[in-house]
Amino acid sequence: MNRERLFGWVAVLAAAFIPLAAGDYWLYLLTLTGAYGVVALGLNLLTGLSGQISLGHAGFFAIGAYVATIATEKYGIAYPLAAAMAVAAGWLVGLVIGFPAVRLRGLYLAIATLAFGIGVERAIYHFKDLTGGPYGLAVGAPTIFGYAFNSPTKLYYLVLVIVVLSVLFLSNVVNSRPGRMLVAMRDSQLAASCMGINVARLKVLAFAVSAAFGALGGVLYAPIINYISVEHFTLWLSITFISMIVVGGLNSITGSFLGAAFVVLVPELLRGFGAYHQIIYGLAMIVVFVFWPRGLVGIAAALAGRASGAKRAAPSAGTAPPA
Amino acid sequence: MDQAIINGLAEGSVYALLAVGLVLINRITEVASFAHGEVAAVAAFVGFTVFHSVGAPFLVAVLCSIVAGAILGGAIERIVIRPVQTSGLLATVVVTLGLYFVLHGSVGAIWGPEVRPYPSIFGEGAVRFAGVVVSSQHLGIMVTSLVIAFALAAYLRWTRTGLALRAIPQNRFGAAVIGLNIRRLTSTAWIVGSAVGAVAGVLIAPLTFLHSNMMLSPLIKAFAVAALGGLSSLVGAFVGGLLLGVTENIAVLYIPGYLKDSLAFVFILVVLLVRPEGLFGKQAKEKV
Repeated sequence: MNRERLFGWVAVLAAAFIPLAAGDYWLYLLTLTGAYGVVALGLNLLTGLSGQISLGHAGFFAIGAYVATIATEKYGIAYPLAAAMAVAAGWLVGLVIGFPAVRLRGLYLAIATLAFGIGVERAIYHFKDLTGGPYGLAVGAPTIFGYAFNSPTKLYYLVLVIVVLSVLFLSNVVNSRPGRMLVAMRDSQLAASCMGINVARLKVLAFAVSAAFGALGGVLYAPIINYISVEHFTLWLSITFISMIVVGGLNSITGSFLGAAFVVLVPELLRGFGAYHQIIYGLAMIVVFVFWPRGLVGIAAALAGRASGAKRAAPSAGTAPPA
Repeated sequence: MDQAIINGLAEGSVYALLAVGLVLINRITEVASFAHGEVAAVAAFVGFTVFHSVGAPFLVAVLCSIVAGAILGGAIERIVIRPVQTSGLLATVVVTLGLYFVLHGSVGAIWGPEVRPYPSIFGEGAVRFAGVVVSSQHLGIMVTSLVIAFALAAYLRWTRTGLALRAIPQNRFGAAVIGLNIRRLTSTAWIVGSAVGAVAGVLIAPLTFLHSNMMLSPLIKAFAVAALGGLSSLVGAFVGGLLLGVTENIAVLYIPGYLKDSLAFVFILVVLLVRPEGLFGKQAKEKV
């Protein structure tokens, strides 16, 4: 077991004891961080690992939230099945969008996904009968085999379990053959295809997996906030997701959750100053790219490196890549 | 129908101007600025403040708007774009999105969330023209856009700087070799592009009213029509803008109003999927 894995399991263990100490409000914020963090994991796979930019992940997030909620609340489908359906729906839409999207070069992909995200938003508005449109839908507590996750603590543990499973799945993907293929493709598409990697298939796959994680995040999000409506899933959210992975630190699992915590905490700390938290998000995105390309996780590593002193010399975790 | 076409041409010429600024910057500096719309919004707000709080004549206020847009564009290039200019697409997309947040938030923080009426330069009259009533405002918007577009074309065609600006996208390295000051020209592109955007902001404010979200949907439409020209064709962007404006206004006769904005996205998707390089653009498709 390497250092990173050990750190991960210690973090999970610590997280498991948090409900003993924290109040409902902090649990709510942490649970929300978990849901966003799952989205960040998926987006990191797409943007960090394979270099494709999506400005439409709020769309997949919305698909997850609405499919799960509509399936349980309107059609009485059992929650685990409804959640699986929602993730599958995200995956499927990701495939459908992914196929044409792989033909598009970076910026065009960003614009196309932006259009997709706003398309989903309009669709939610348009199909009011099903989605409640601007009036929204109430979301009940998720119930698994008769056990209702109806308190902040229970919901927290549910999300924690899903987060751990997601991280395990993703870290295995990253360290496996497809993961290395993705990195090869990001670094040089030409070289990768010369090595016999089916670039198109891989891109679609990355897109679909990332979309499925987006949807999973949405599935978790809905019961946390109890109520979903069209205004939760705007372009703002898609950009917020991007800021999350950038500020947290691209290509890092820890960074995904640090970034998620950042976007959850900033509006809470600056409550009532809506305009200011946008400024802070924005400044953080700019500053990170101009000064600290590795984001919060880079800063944390630099601090840890300094704390552990001279034991570890030059190539320690604290050295940032040349900008 | 005729009325819809006229309204469409007026709204479309604003999208066109916004898109032209966007394309100008992207063509010369290879940065597509998601903050372009917010620069225009800030410029419109500055003009509003000059007009209302300082009490200057409206035309002076409009000039202040344009100057504000130009200064802001130049400052953005100098302070935040230059450090990441060569760091790749993700860096420039993220940084301009960050700027979008910063400018949008600043407008909210400085001017508040109110929706304010905005005076038009062209008064409230109307002209009858070949059986169609055209409000002087719509007419003014169309004429101004055309004048600005032609002025920009003339600038690029006949001035020395314009020639230099056109040389850059043709051969970046060659342009540097023959001694063009790429840095200064990049700055120029941002300043001119943002000033054109500011004009678009001032023109659209009387139609949408002045508020912090006023430029979001025009910006996305500008992106849609810019994509039509492959993000590099100024003519494509202008024609595309007019086309989208007219299409929207005709479509509204048949579909619910809130779906009007969605047309731009259908536009984007169809253009990108069928002809990713745009109707006027160069190759952007990847062989996969």
